[in-house]
Amino acid sequence: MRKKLVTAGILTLFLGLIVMAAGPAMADQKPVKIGVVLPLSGGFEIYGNLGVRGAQMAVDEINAAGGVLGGRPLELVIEDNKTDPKTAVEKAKKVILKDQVVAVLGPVSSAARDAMTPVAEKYKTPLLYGIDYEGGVCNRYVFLYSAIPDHDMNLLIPYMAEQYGKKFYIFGYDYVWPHKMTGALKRIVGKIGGEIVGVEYTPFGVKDYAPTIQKIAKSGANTLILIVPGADGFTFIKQFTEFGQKDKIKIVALASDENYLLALTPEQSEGILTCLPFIASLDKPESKSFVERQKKMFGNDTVVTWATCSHYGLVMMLKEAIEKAGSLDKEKIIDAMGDITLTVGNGPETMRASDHHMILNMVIGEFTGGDLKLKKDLGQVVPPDQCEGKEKK
Amino acid sequence: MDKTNSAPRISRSAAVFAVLFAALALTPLSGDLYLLTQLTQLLVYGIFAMSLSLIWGHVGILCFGQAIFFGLGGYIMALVTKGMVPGMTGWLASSCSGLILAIFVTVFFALALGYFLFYGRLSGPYLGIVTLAISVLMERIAVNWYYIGGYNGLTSVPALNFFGFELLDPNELYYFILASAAAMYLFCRGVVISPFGRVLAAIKNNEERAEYFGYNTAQYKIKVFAISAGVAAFSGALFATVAEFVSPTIVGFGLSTEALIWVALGGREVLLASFLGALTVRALEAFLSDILTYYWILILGLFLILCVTLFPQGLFGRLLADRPKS
Amino acid sequence: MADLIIQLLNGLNYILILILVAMGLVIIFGLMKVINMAHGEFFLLGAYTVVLTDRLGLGFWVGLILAPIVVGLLGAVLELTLIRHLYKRFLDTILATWGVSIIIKQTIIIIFGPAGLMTQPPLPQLISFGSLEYPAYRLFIMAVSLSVIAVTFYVFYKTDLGLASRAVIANAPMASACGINTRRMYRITFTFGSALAGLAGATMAPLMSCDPQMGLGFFIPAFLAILVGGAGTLSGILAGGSVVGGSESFISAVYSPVTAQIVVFSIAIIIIRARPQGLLGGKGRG
Repeated sequence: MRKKLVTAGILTLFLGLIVMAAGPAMADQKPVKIGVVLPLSGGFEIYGNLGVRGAQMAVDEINAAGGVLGGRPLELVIEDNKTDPKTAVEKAKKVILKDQVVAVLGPVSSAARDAMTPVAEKYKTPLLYGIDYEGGVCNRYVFLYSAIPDHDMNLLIPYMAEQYGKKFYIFGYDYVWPHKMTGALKRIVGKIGGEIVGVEYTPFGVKDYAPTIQKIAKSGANTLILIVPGADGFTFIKQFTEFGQKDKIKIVALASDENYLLALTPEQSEGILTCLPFIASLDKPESKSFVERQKKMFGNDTVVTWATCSHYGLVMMLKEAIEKAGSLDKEKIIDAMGDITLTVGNGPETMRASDHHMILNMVIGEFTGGDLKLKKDLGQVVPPDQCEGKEKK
Repeated sequence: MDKTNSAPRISRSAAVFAVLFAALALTPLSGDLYLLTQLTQLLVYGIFAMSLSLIWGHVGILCFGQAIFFGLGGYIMALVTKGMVPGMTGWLASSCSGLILAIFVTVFFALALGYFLFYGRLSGPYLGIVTLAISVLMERIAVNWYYIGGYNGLTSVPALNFFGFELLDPNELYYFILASAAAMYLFCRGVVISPFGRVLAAIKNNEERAEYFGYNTAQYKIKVFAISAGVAAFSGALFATVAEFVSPTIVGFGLSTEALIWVALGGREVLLASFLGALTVRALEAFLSDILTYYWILILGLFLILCVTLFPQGLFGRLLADRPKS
Repeated sequence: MADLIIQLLNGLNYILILILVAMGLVIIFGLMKVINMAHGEFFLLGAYTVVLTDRLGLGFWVGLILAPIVVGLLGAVLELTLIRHLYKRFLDTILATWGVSIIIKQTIIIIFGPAGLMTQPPLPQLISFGSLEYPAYRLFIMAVSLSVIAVTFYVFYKTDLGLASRAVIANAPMASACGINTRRMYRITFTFGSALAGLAGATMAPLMSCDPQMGLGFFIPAFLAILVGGAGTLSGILAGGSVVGGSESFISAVYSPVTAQIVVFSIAIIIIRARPQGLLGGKGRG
């Protein structure tokens, strides 16, 4: 009897030691969570899905290389904001309060981002935004891996004026982003001595653009600047082509990228121009490698665009910031996440600490022959400091 | 049924009310902050559901645009407390005046709308479609009106602030909302069991007959429409401070029809049943929509059909209705 | 001048589209007093039938023929299982059909995904009249709409079936007393109305991108057009469609699409309120 007790006692002690040793080791494995609040339905899911794929590839590569802070894996908590600012706010609160994430990645629309920003401020959690937008945000808690008008429109408009003529027509969705872009465009067109012959806005979900197309045809414009991303934009381009206007007026479609190749026929997409930080057909080693890695992970038909790169870049930068800060203290991470330079898909790009905006390498792309090809490589673009004259909140 | 020597019987609804609100009062003890913030918002939706039950379940007016009033209340609260209403600054830009203005303006709007609708002899299905069109229209206006935020809406709506006492602590906010819900329930219940309410029940039962008895049914309908709008506006104003955010979606068609579903599923004829309907459906949605995603809405549609055809009293209606007085 | 003609064509195009969509709804509503909230989703199903045949490589024309058959059958099934229990309960039919619309919409999302899908028009050419150019497909749509109107009018006013329908519309109990099988009339009407919705959807699919939310965008203007014109008569929808469609097209061209929507909706609501029987409706009823 006593022998049994002793044996039992020794075994328990032994097990206890094992558990104690494993304990801290297991705690080391506790994942570091990143919240992802992107639209996976409701209209902007083509961009949301790209963001998810970019982030996932980054997380997998980081974890394969040993994770962060001595072995802890990164984990994404993915929530669908349904392209609705109200839902975006709810999901942001959920990932911050319930899942205790160290940062929130997303969203897509400026409307959702403006709605989520107060949440990020209130709970002191960094918001990592990776979509091209209208510029002007200056906030300690928001990081923007985005092209703003100073990156794209500032260079594209003079190019269009030089190549095709100085008269522009602007047609966009009726909400903040297109309105602010129009403001920026008016300034840029004014600077080069061009003329804006018409501005029009449209509600969401219009199916028949015939009256508007008529107006554009009559206006004498050389270039149409289309600020209608997503399915409605495809409808517009389709109808525009059907009315025979494609040969007469050039289209610059904001936020158009490789997704357009899936939705439009080569005839419909032919000749549309865009200005982006990355296109999949770039002939640079880092671009080819990025596209290849995406296809390996998600399949050969995967669409790879600038949005994939930006979200990948944001996760990579977050990882660096966490390592630099040496802890999961969100304030320290925010302080560490400035002046980081990475190469993702198109040369070295830098996140500035002063205003949390990017120095990017831009290209002008043209849809031709059913593909999005490089028309002109613009090289590095340094935008003005977005926090100049503003108090950083 | 010998009534003389038995103790006064507590009505079923009073008992359910007491139990329900006591249970809700105990939830902060769980310490789960996320649960608390979610529940706070659910309670606000519950008040909204009760406003719809008031006109639909108790009078038979099917309004496809109840969110118009909810949204109006929310926007007014947001505009006033953010100091965006010209002329209203300083102490006028406080929560109190926000709430008062939200309710008053919306009630006034509802009275005007009521005159427009009910005196035109619009009834039943026509009313449904017209209120539907109006809510779509209001959402479009909200999206296009730049000053009130357009598609983006308004963010950073300040927290409730009563004479310097700011309700920032989630627990305090929760209890305030809970108390408001209780108060609104008692108010609506008061309307329902009053003589005014009895005429409404008669109208629901058979409007022509009520008219033959000499009641000006249009007047009654307009009044209850305005009361219901006021309750909805109150809940909308609370929503603005709880969510700290208003946008055109709270004024439009989507939220209106969601509310109809909560009330239909919960039990339109009993206030507490509608209240519970809102809480249950939304809670289930938060819980299940991650797992079931697209299928969840499908199931909801199916339930709607079942409730409308087979269970007009909803899930909780039968349980919570008072026993008829003998 | 050429410009004006194109604007007129655009306006006419939109009016005829609205009438095409609303035709089925007006028949069902006029005859059965049932508001089918799922009418927009029947339209949706017609459009997605074309998407499906396009994806399967069968082409557009197969889809155009299949759509009214498929959707008509679905309408018949719906009538048999659900609608006929709810004839006397108008409010409940609205909600129940609303539930059906939710189910149909979600099913489409589950099968096809939430994003918009495109199909190509079978007639992509531009037709030129002198200096004018107009897409051939839009002319085709107008032709389809006019044919549907013609056929419907013919059936209603020149056939026995039409006579029976008009009798039921005028006075259902009396028609029943005269030996007309009202139950059978209701079933035929609902099937026919649904089939028309499917046809409308299939016809419209190549013009735009098909997404699951598009049903409502057509349903509301169509219904407003019906109420404006007068719900009990066929000519009512012609008047209503012209007023609603014409003004939206005109204001869109002169001002903007945003203004057009707001103004047209407001006008429609006011007209309905001022004259609940519609512009061409006979008896004053609410």
